Amino acid sequence: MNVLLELRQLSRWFHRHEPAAVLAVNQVHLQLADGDFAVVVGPNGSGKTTLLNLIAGTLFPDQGSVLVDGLDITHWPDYRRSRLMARIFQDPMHGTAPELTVLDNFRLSFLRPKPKLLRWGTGLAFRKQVYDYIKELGMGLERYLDKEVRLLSGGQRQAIALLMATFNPPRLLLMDEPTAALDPRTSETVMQLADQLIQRHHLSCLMVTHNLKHALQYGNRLLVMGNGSIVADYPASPKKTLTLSDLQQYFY
Amino acid sequence: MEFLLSAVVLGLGYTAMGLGIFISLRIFNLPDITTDGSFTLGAAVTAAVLLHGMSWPAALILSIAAGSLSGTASGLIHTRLGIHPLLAGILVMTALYSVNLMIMGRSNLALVEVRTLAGPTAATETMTWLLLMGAFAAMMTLLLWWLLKTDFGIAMRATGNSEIMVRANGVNTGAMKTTGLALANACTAISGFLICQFQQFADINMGIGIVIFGLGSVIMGEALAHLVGLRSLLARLVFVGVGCMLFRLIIGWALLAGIHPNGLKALIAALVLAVAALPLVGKKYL
Repeated sequence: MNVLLELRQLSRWFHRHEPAAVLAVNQVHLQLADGDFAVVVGPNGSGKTTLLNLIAGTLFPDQGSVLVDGLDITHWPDYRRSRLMARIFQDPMHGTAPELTVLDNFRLSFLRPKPKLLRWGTGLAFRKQVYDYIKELGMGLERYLDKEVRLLSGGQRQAIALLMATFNPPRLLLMDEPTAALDPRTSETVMQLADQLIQRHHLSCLMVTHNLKHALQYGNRLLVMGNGSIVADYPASPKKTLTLSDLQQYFY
Repeated sequence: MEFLLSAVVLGLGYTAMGLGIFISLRIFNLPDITTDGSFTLGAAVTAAVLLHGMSWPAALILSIAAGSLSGTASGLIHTRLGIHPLLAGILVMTALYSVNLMIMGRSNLALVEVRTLAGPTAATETMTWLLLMGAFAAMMTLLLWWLLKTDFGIAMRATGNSEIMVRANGVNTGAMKTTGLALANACTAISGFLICQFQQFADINMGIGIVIFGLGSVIMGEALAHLVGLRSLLARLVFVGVGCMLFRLIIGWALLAGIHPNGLKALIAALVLAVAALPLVGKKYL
């Protein structure tokens, strides 16, 4: 197995030296294989989002380390980790810059692993590249290239964010409840799009979700968190036979 | 006619400062009070350099350097020490008062018998200044437009827009804000450089209230651009200059109409308030 992401004895406290101290992530050890799509579920407060933030670098651990491709990135800030990973947020507003055009947004995500230099990069060639990439998915979003993103709906914005994240494919894709802010129908469309893009680019992905149906339907590995630890880990074949009621037991 | 001309010349001279405010206020959402100090700083450096017998290009380069330093100071205080940007600006502005006094040696320097941008001070015409100020304003507007369209500029614009998103795409937002404030205050110092030579003196108090004038001009320019239906980035930048000229015209007209000079700052404050509140008031009551 070619390990892409490795978490070694990762722990993180909140309010550590106060009476209200919470051990949000407790000694988590995890290896994610290259090409795996792992889904993380668990009740509120189980540490899912904290775990994701520790990987993304918006939070730093009190103990333990984070490795990608064997490289220790524990002390890298989030903007440096963007060389290795792309992120999709629960709030569609967070994944895009609302007052910039769709094209400018794509330019930024295209440059995710690179420095932003003093040159015009949104010329005809780049424009055509983005246009073709968006058009291929048949959602009609290519018409909005020069529109400011704030003028699009939440579902469209989340679809754009997904396309941006995969336009210049990262080593690892992190998704934090990507459909939680969307209506049921849009939620299905966006999840299907995510799955399609992940398969097409053979992306490795870690997704946190509260939607147990999605957790069963997508990905080839399922992790259940409780009280800051991983309490269950289903690889591809046991995950296939898993049912909704099997999962629900972890929530009571 | 004379009053119209001088309002336009001053408006064009203040355009660089307006563009600086556009950067801090519109790109980064940070009202940057450092401006009051860095405007005087540009003028103080220019006057001192010219009176030392050096040429205007030297004055320009040193003004830009000094302006960027003051912006960098505000930026670092805000991003590294976590101080509120308004307070960071006030701190640097206050410190700059002393710095400016030290540079000038006293509170007022007259530019007599030196060569300015427009030639020897004894024989300069307002028309020459109109062309010079126009050229500077046009050049700076185009330069800023070019910058904001580059990959770096896109990252800059996104930083003030969605910090989470730009960080996830590899931008160090702290460094970006500091760079932005350095750039904004370099622009402001260029205005100090121009205005000081035009009026042929630098005064320690010449920067007081400049930031309000800049904010008002930017907001007014934007409202005007909106009114005529121009939304592109270049149009927004051009209308910063339009806003600066319009603002000077209103002030000039008020003085001409006989308002007492002591009431000028109150007038400016009222004007900025009116322009800033207009969109909301218009939506609610009209």
